[in-house]
Amino acid sequence: MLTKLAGGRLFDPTNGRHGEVADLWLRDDRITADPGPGATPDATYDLTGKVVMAGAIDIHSHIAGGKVNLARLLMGEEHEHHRFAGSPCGCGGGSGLATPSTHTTGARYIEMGFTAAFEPAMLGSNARHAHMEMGDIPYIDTGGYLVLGSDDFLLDLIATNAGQAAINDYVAWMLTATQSLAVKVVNPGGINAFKFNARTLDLDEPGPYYGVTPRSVLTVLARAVYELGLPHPLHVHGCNLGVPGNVATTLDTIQAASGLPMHMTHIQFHSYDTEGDRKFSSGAAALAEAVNRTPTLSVDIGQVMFGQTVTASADTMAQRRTAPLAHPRKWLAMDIECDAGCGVVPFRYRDTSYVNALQWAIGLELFLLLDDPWRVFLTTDHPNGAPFTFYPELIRLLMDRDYRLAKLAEIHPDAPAHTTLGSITREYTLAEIAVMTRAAPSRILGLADRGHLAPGASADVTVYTDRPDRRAMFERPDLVFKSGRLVVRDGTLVAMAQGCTHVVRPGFDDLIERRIARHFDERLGLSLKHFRIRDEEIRHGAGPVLHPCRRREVP
Amino acid sequence: MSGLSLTYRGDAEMMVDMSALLPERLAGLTADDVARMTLPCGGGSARLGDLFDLSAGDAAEGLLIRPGGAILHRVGAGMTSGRILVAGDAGNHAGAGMAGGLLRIDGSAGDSLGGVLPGLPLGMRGGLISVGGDAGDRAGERMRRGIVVVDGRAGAYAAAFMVAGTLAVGGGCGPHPGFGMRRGTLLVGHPQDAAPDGFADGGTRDWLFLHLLRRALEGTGSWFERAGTTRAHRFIGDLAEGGRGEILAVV
Repeated sequence: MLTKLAGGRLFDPTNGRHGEVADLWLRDDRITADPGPGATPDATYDLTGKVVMAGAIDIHSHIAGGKVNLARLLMGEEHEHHRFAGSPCGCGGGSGLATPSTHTTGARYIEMGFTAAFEPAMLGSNARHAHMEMGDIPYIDTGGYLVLGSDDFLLDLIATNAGQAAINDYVAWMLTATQSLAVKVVNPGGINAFKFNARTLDLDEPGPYYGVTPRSVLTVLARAVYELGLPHPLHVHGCNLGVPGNVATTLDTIQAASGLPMHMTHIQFHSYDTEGDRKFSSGAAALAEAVNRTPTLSVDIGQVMFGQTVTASADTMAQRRTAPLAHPRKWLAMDIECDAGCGVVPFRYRDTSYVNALQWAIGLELFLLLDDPWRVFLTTDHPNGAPFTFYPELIRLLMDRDYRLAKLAEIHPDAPAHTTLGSITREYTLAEIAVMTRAAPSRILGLADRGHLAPGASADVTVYTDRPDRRAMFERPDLVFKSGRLVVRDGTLVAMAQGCTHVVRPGFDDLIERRIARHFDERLGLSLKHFRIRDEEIRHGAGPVLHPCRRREVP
Repeated sequence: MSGLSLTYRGDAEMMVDMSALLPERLAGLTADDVARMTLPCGGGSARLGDLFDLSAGDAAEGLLIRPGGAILHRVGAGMTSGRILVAGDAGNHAGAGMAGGLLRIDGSAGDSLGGVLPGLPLGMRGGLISVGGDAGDRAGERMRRGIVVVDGRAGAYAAAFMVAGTLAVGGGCGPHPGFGMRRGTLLVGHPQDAAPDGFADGGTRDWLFLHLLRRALEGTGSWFERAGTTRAHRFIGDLAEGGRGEILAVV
């Protein structure tokens, strides 16, 4: 099947195209070079004046796994009130807004032109469940980041000075066994400390049982990820999430990486200062300056948008702290197999609340103060800041200063005084949006054939009408192709498609497996044989897509 | 009864969600209007008229449901007024989240009788439910007002997390009665030897409250109306939640 997309304006930053008019050719599931004048395409679409981009990639969105499912259970009324019939092509049915069911997740993403989303907090013992759910999400590519840093085995290795080589082997073994794409650390050591009744743990504070500081967990894992040569740097959810004054901790965390690459996630929740009468203000300017100065660092924002959502996190410390603010008033927390924890707190962000209004402003401030769109990613930390369906609105806020100022005037009157948002004139361009949502995510995840439009890339293409109202533009793409197949026309599903699951598999010394097996036998409720996920279990037997790792030495 | 009656047509064990059929919502509608409603059933939905035979009548006068072989979930869930009579068995969540009115089930009820709908923090808020047969697990869960009376047995976690209200079970309960109970009364129809987990022994005596309860249940024909005594053994709990609820075992 040969498809010609004629005369569109291509936004393809990976290949240096910023709106040039050109034809794009798709052969089966790949983008192909112009086959020359003799070729007759099976389908031709006239895209004169339209904006053509690769399918968008969401690098941080909680779409599968234990806590997502617990959030669905907790938000039962949402599923009662928001049910969706499937489209005529037999897909996209389901329920839920902030905690959409699997089919609904896939449908909402592809309707906005997203062709990949990655689950950023997959616990080892929940990995099988997460993979089964991801296999059930249609349309989009997925993958999971393995949560390490509060698991007993790793903390024991660090506490007993087992050495970096053993830690590298353990990380590589876990990534392979759980079919993961990257390593994430959530409140390093803090979830473990929580179980020993610590309610806070600062960067240089030894944990109550192992005596390991969050700083050492961070450096050890950042080094392991670097030496194993994983494409994605260590994905860090730092200490003290949501605590006023935590911008100091965040700046220290950047120092702790000491030159190793690191990705700091939902930094909006980590950029609070304590100025003003209410002891809560924006620390965005200081943080943005530090990030701009550190080229090895990348960030995503975790933008807050107003409305009802639910926060689901492995960070039991932070979730217990916010539980009294739950709306509706219910929450849950649990331990997950001693690997990590899980807390789910429903939340309604209100523009009339000083704190929520400031959180909204801080997120936007960070977006606008960070210079390099290659190192900043569009996320709402779905569903923690807002459901991912708010992305088009967020893009409008970034691209349209007048609209932004109008919204700023509507929020709590005291909030604007504590941010610099009103004075920022920057507006994102279409090219920068294409970097932030396509080119940069594919680069930072090491997905060589996604997020761009060169011949050989996966034929994931989104076509928009260039409208002044950027929200309307990004909400309803004209056409979306997934693996060369037209699946969305005028914002409506027309056909079914399946994505794939991306994994990495760095090698390891087999000796580590004996130690891990003993740990499983003595401490955990599952034997190592059953913990490991086979290729046949991924995507209903289709198996994962492997991405190469290149081992390196720390200079 | 001059009200509306629904008789299930088929004999297959079809599951039907009945939560849309509340007397206050059907009041004033003709049988034809009601027959045109769609109900979730099995994996999809169906017209009510295809599932049930309807008699002419106004649901405001009362709603009589003859379930036949069907499994009817959520009968009277969220009801605020009126009367529903089920001449047979009801499925799960019968009277869940009910705020008023009368629900009578001649047969047995499934799980979460007078309980809580998924994800909601509170269960039944008022009204009276009377069941001739048994009830499943989690009867009266998160209840905060109203009366549920079951002539037969109740399953596990009866009156779990109860905030207030009364659950009266003639035939005794399964494991963990009153789990997480904060206030309210769980009345059981036969002597209890040991205090349930989380409850302390509060002694045996004649309780004025049970006279009032008997009066409230007049005309329902329930087991407690027939029980000749108001003497009961009291257990106080759940101590983990402050210990202001009670389990009364009739002696």
